[in-house]
Amino acid sequence: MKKYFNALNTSVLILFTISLFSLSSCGWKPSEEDIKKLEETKSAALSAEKTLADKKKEVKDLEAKIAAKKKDLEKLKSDKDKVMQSVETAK
Amino acid sequence: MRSIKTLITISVFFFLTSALYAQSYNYEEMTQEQYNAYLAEWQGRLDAGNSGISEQDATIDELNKELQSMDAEYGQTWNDIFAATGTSQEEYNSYQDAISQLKKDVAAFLAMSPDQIYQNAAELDKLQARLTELQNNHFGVMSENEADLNEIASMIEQARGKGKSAVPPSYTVQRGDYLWKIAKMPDIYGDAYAWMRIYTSNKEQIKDPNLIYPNQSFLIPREVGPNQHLVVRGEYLYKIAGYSNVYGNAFQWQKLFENNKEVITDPNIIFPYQVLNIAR
Repeated sequence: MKKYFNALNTSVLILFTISLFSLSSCGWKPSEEDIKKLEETKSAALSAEKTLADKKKEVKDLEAKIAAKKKDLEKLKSDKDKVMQSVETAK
Repeated sequence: MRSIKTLITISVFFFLTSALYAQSYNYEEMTQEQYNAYLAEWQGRLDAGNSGISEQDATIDELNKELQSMDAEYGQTWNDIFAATGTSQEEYNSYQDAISQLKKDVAAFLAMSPDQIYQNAAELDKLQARLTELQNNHFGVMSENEADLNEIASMIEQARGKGKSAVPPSYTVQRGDYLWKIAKMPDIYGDAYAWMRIYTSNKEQIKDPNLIYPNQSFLIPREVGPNQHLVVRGEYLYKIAGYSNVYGNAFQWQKLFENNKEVITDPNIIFPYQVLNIAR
C-alpha cells in the first residue's frame, strides 16, 4: 500500500510540474529572431527619419543659397549693363 | 509529507524564476498582436522615411543643377564684363584694393586736426585725384564700387570743410563782392556753388542773396559736426541715409527728411552744401 502511495505521489508530482511548465509557456512569445527583426526595423526607421530631417535641412540651405545667388546674379547683370554703357560712351 | 514539501519548494522556485525572467525582457509580456502592430508601425515609418529620402534626394539633385547653372551664368557675366573692359579678375581685385586703400587714407586724413589738414591741402588734392581716377574707371559704375566712391567723395568734402576751420571763420564784404564770388575764393570754400551755405548761415543779414553790402561781416561755417552731413553733388536723401556714418540704412531717408524740414521743402530736391542734421 505504501509502495503504491509513493508511486502515485511521484506521478502526481511529475504531472504537476509538467502542467506548470505547460501553463507558463502556453502563450505566444517572440523568438530571438523576431526580437532582432523588430529592433533592427526600429533602428533602421529612426536612422531613416534622421537622414530625412538632414536632407530637408540640406534642401532649405540650398534654396537659401540659390535665392542669394539669384540676387547676386541680378545685381551683376545690372552692373554689366552699366559697364557696357560706360565702355560704349568712352568709345 | 516530505513529498508535499518538495512539491511546494519546486513550485515556488519555478514562479520566482519565471517572474525574474519576465522583468529582464520587455518582450516577455508582449502578445503576438502587439508585436505585429509594433513591427508594422516601425516598418511603416521606415518605408515613409526611405520614400521621403528619395524625394529629397531628387530635389537636392535639381537644386544643385540649378545652382551650378547659376554659377556658370554668374561666371559668364563676369567674363563678359572683363571682355568688354579688356581686363581680368586680377585687375578687378587690384581696383577694389585701390578703393579700400584710398578709403583708409582719406579716413586717416579726416582724423587729422583742422590745422594739419589746412597745411596739407596739397595732399588732399592728391587724394581727390586718386578718387577721380577710380571714378573714371569702367568698374566705377558698378553699384558696390559706386557706393564706396561716393562715400569717399563725401569724406574728402568733409576734410576740406574741416581744414577750412583753420582760417578765419568770417569774411568782410569788399566792394564788388557777391556771394558766388566769395564762395569761390580758395580760402572760403573754393567752390562758387557753396554760396548757398554762406546765404543760409547769414540769413539775418542777407535779405536777398543778390544784394550784399561792403563791410558786412559774414559767418563762414567750416566744420560739419559729428551729427551733421554736408550734401555733395549727386547725393539724395536715400543715398545719404545709406551711408555707414549716417544711418547705414537707405530706407531711413524719411527720418532724415523729417529732421531737416527747415531746410528741405521737397524730399526729392536737396542742394550741394546744405548741412543736414542726423538725429540719432
